[in-house]
Amino acid sequence: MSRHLSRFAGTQNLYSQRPRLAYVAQAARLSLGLVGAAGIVFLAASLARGVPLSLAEVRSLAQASALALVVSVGWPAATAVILGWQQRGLFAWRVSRGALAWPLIVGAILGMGVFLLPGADSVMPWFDRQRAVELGLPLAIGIHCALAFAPDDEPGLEVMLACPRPLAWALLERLAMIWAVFGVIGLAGTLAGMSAMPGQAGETALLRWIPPAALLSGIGAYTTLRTRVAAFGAAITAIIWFVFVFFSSVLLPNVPMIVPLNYLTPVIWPVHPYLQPDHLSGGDYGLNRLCVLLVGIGLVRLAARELRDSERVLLGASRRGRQAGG
Amino acid sequence: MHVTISQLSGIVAYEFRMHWRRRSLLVVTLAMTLITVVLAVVTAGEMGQDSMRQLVSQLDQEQGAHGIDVLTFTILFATWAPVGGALAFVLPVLVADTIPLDEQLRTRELLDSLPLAIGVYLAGKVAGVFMAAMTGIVFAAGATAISWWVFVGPYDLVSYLQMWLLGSGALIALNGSLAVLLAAGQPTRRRAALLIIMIWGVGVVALGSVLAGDSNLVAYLSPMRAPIIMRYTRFDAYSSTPVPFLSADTAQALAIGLIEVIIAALVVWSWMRRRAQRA
Amino acid sequence: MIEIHDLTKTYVGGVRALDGLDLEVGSGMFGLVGPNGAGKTTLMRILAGIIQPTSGTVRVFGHDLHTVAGRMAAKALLGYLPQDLGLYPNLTGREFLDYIAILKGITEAGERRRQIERLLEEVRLVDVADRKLKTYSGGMRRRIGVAQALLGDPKLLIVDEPTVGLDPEERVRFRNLLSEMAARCTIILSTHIVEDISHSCNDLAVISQGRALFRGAPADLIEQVRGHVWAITTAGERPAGDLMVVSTLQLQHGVQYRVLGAPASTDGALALEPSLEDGYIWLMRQRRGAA
Repeated sequence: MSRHLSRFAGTQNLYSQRPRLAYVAQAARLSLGLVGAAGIVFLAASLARGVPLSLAEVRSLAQASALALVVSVGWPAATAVILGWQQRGLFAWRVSRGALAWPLIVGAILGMGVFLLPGADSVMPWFDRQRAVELGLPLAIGIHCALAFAPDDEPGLEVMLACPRPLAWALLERLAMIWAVFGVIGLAGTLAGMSAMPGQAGETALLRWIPPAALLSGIGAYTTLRTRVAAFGAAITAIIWFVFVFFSSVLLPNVPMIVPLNYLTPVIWPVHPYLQPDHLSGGDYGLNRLCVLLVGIGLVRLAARELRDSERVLLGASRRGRQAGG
Repeated sequence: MHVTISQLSGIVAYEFRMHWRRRSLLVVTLAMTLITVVLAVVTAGEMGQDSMRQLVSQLDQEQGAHGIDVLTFTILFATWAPVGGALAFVLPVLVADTIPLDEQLRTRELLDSLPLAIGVYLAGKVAGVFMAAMTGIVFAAGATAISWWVFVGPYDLVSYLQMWLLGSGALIALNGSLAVLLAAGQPTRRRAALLIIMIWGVGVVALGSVLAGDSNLVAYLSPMRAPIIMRYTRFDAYSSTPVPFLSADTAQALAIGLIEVIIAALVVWSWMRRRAQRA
Repeated sequence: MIEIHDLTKTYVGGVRALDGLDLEVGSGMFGLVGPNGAGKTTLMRILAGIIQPTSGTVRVFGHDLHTVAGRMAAKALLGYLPQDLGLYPNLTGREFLDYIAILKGITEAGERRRQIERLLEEVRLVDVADRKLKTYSGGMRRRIGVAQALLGDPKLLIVDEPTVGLDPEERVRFRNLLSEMAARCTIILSTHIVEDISHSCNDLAVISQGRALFRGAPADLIEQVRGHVWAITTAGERPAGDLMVVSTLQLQHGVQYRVLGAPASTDGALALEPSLEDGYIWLMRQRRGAA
């Protein structure tokens, strides 16, 4: 048992064993900050010159961001997965299973099934059957992740904080459980869609729903942890889903837009969760999928970081408020 | 003061405070205000552009509308789309925890020991949510009305305020109340939010589009409240000043929504009464 | 006056919390003790009109709790402090009391203010009355619970484990407060802390498995164990005989046991003056022996 407990420090322990890895992580965070700063400078310059950023300019920024995200988000995520696998005996999967909202799961399956039915697009002319999985499933996953862990609604919070296991594990194992269940549903839906509509490429079918699902999961989990209210996380997730689904073809570069949105729409496409394969070139679509996926994972990471400050988690007050005796 | 009225006003007053202190209403109100102010700035930038002038002249020619009608239409349309959406779909999820929170915070046992009728408790909770949300609406309406006036210029202020107060009031009274009542039996905030998301999802998709077909009756049962949401997005409504809130279809949607709320209230009231008898 | 006759409560799932309980409670302070799961909280909740009995009759000051009107009338006379009191974390102490006062039917704002100020003084929360309840300590939460129960000068005060979480000084204060209240209303005090009852009640009932095992004055319960309470000091081994150890005290050269029962030998055993706790434990032991 003590051998297991000594591993609880997670990535910190890894860094203490291999200090160079800590420098890599620091450098990755720094590079992400630099890319962000460069993005703001680019946007400010475009506003100053009165001409929106071009597709090529945004592409180069997106490529730099993707690289920084791969190192700063993808690499720690991979490390976390390895650590999690090594310590899998310490996950409380049974408890996490209790956090699953079965009505939402059943609703997602039914919704996807109805949309996959032959003739669904003739009943709903606005609907494209190829999008049967990508429309509803990411929303269901996002809402589920928003409802997964809210400190104010967690009855055993104080006991969980007193355990030697970091609290973030509770969040991550619940998200993993949600992803496992919805992953199976999504894969089944993808296969069903491919057999119903044989022209589709498998990887495109998967890329249609996995990155938006990751992004909405991150948004849901992070908003809930930040605001402490699960309903708020769910509502924000739903709003973002709504905006990107219904304004999918408007929030694109080269689409005429009123001032000042014409400065913003050209820079949205790298993180547009519902960008369609035919909206931009294949390379740009791939870049978009990578960015969306990594931003989603990054938000999950930020959500887990929110749980590091146990005093804030328990009392809900800000650091400044606590210092002032609040 | 009569005890029942005193209890009712007490619940309303304290529910009002608690909702504002939970911050979610504050965030929604500020978001609605901010979005509208940004839209005012955007529209102000757009006013000098050719596309807007073309739209005005086109509407002048086609509909015989005056410049102020077109401007009012633009302002109301731009404002109502995000505000109506937020009130119809986001607010219900946020207020769904109103009654379940008493269970979650374990104040229910104390409340059950007080000489408080179930009807008064339910009415107080629903009215408290309405008052809290409407206060935010009044603030947002005032702030955004000024920003439109400052950035864009004179427009039909009466129609604008009427849209905020009557349109928003109707959506809060129908969707907000329905969410509070339908989630009343849930033991936690999480379950309440989940239930309302499910009901709203099914209601909007199934009642609003799939099952409705040509039936207005079925469509108006949906929490989408299409006639109310669409009221300020149709230019034909702007032929008179101020733009009237009530038309045949909004009145119909309002009546159907009210019936829904009353039925929900009766069901929840009898369920709570039964639960009290069987406890 | 509270009259309980043949009261039974069976929960869904078949758990019988009360099993034909008969009890009459007059004015003054009435103590209710019993082991965990004895049915005390169920009885309290029935008296507070929160849950319904399965069978039997309950009348509170003449109001039949089987009817809605009777329950509402009884609730109007009631102050209730539940065992597990929840509070609204975003309200201040003063606001919470005002809210409960309104719901109790105190319609006059001035009267509410007067009562709240008086009670805040009595439970010593004046300094923190304008702080949000989420910042209150466990003891403060308990005291605000006590204050809300006393709002509206109730004729019947039902308090379930009121002194849990209070420090010794506050406990004494609260006991004195209850004793003062007992002069003008009926108080039902349910507790595990027998000491609270011995200090303040002149009438008590011991219930177990939904039935009353004992009903009478604390002195009568104490009398039952007289002659069976001993202090025995040994080198460390437990004293022999049909004994129940109530307390153990480690001394420098041995261990002193306080025991109930008949020791194998009374040599070196010192007969002690029994306490109410001894009486309670003796009664429960007798019952287990009989069962």
